[in-house]
Amino acid sequence: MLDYIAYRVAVLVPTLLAVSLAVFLVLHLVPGDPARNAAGPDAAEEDIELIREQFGLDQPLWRQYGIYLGNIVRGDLGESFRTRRPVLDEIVRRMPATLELAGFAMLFAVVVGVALGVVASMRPNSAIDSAVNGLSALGISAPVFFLGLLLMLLFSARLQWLPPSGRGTMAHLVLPTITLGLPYVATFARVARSTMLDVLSEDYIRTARAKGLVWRSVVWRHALINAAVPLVTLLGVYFGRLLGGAVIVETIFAWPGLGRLMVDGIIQRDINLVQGCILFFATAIVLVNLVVDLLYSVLDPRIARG
Amino acid sequence: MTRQTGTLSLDRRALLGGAAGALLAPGVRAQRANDVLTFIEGSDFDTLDPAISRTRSAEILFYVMFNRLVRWTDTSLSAIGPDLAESWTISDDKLNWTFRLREGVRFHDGTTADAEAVKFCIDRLRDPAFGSPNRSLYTAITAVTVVDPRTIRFTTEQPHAGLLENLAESSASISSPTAIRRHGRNYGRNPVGSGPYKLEEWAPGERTVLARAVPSARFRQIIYRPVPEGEARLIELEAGTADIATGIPPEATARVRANPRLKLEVIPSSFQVFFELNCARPPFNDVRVRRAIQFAIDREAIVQRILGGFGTVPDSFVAPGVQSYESIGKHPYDPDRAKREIAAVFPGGFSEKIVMWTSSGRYLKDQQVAEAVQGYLNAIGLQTEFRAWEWASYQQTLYRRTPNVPGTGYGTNAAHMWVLGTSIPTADWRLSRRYQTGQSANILGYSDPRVDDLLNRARVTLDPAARLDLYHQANRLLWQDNPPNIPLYNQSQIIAMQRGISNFNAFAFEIPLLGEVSKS
Repeated sequence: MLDYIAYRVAVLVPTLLAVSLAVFLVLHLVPGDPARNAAGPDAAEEDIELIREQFGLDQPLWRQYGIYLGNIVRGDLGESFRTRRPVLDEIVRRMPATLELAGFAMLFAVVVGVALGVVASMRPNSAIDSAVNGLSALGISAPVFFLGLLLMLLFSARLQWLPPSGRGTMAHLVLPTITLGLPYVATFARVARSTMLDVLSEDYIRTARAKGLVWRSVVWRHALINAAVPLVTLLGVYFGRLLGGAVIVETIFAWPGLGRLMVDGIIQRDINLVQGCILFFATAIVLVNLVVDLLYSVLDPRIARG
Repeated sequence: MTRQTGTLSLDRRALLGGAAGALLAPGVRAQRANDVLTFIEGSDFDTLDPAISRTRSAEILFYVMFNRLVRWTDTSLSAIGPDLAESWTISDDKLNWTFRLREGVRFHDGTTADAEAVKFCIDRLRDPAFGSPNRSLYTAITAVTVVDPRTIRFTTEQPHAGLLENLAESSASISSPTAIRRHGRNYGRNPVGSGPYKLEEWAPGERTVLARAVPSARFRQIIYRPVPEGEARLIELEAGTADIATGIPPEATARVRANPRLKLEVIPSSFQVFFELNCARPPFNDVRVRRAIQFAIDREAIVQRILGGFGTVPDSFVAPGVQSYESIGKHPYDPDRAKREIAAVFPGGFSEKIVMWTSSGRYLKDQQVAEAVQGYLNAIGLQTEFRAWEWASYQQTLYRRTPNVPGTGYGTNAAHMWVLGTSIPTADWRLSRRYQTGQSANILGYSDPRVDDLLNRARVTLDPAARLDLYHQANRLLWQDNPPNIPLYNQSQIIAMQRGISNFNAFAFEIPLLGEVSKS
């Protein structure tokens, strides 16, 4: 087991190297002049040249990448062109907000989604089942942008129950969490429903019922554990997408997270900052998938043995 | 019976709602106190070091956190008055400016705002190794000398008429040298000035809290929050969680006007958006074509139909609120005249396609306005080719050096005309960099010896009235005789606020004066 973990962590290194090279190339080949953007639209040419030299942007590309890699090895992600502060500091400062939002949204999606899916699977083709089906279709297809503003108009402007945007109290967390999590509620509900239907038709479920167990406990304790593996897989797959969605949700709700930092960085061609953010996201996704893989063997010991 | 049930469920909902409301309300209504002002804007800032910042949103805060040596006394930029300096004199040879500083001004860290501090900050700005994006505003200064703790002298190589206005720029805000030395690279997160408010808390992307630093400051706290979405900013006001929001989209203004708890302020902006013309190649290398084209555009229709009335038709080469603005007179919309005058230059019509470039989303409705202009040019028989750009690529392409091309010192030769805008409020900065021969931002290849001469003379004319007159002459040349561009519209600042806000005022370069606002 430990060997397996060590192997997976070791694979992280080439993965991140590939990611860093790809990001570096894309950011440098995409049109746009980082020095000019750092200086602002009204800056004089000589001031822009000064900034270009200061950040080594006048060097050949291969040398810039070499310097960049060398710095990464020493744990230095470089300096942001705009704030002139270490990129790592900027990321660490913004990270908690994004992890908080993504974490709550995932929790919301899993708890509500699985509950809805299981309830629907208990009475297939009933009114509840159709309602959950319809709701998930809506959740998957509603654009995040539209959904966010709609919730904001209703709960902030009209009812004045919740603050429209920003971060601070738990109340600030409610609307962005729902907006970010809702599409995944729908996905989890659908997957939970179909896997549960499969599991519920298995022989051992019939046996459990036959020996007189309460139906509810059969569903929630016996069946759900066995339906968990595909759900956990989904968790790993969707965590990355969720982080992607956070970029939009953070902008709508003025949430001070990494997604917004990265979008600002892209618009301003703050290459070092964007590189740092993407490396962080890549690491997070790889690690989450590692945890998910390890969870399989906990949920289903056959996987570990195989 | 049915009715009974209905009432019951409604009550229950109200009760639940009330409970939720009570639970969450603190977050919603906490900022209603009269001694706290909450201000929201679209963009965040990345540093609060005035010497390297180039973000307007940060500049708004600099105005209440810092002193400069001198400052504009009013929002129409008519005069410069004392700030840290209480008075100043100019030597007979006009090369030495001596400023007498106010006594007893202290930074928020307790150190004294004396001549040493001023020298430290201005020298820091001038230092090439520091790399301030605004350095070139201060390179005309050759030496800053401390005469005594309350007296400082600036020396210039030539008489420098723009010195005072450059020292009134927010980049020349005076920081505490002690704080700069202590925090080094992190000074941008720990700014220390001597203004009426000091930084209390800054959570990037989330909120910046300024606290009262002197007893006379009106608010206990000024809270700045960046909210990128225009619609979300409006909802913040409707929910009562913010006092003032800038950058309200024109299409949302009806909702503000319909809301009895809110009000709308529309303030002229120094921001003018224009099509620059490539003066180095046909057809716009011919001044007659540049003059004729002015009549082809129905600017009134652009302002009314595309901008929803939020903007004004330019009546001068610079927008109102820019130093040296005076109304000269709008260009009438007369497509027949435009056609006639162009036909006089190209009797058979201009055969090539005119390449038009525009940014998309950088300026208010830039692409839509550019498309309208394309329609007007087509209507007078010109063929056009249109391209919309993302801002960063656009800038890079426009300013790319093209060596050995006559006319354009450098700049694009692939386009005949391109959209740009500026809000720079000072005349020299606004006019010289773009329109003087050979200047770095003159990507048009524009050159008029009369304009060059007027701008050169204005730069060394210390008498304010005489200097202003030179700029007026330059503006008239650039507007009528030898236009380098097609001015399209002057922007308006659309700002919404709670009814209880009064005394709201803003510089035309889109800087609200938060320190002067009252709230009840």
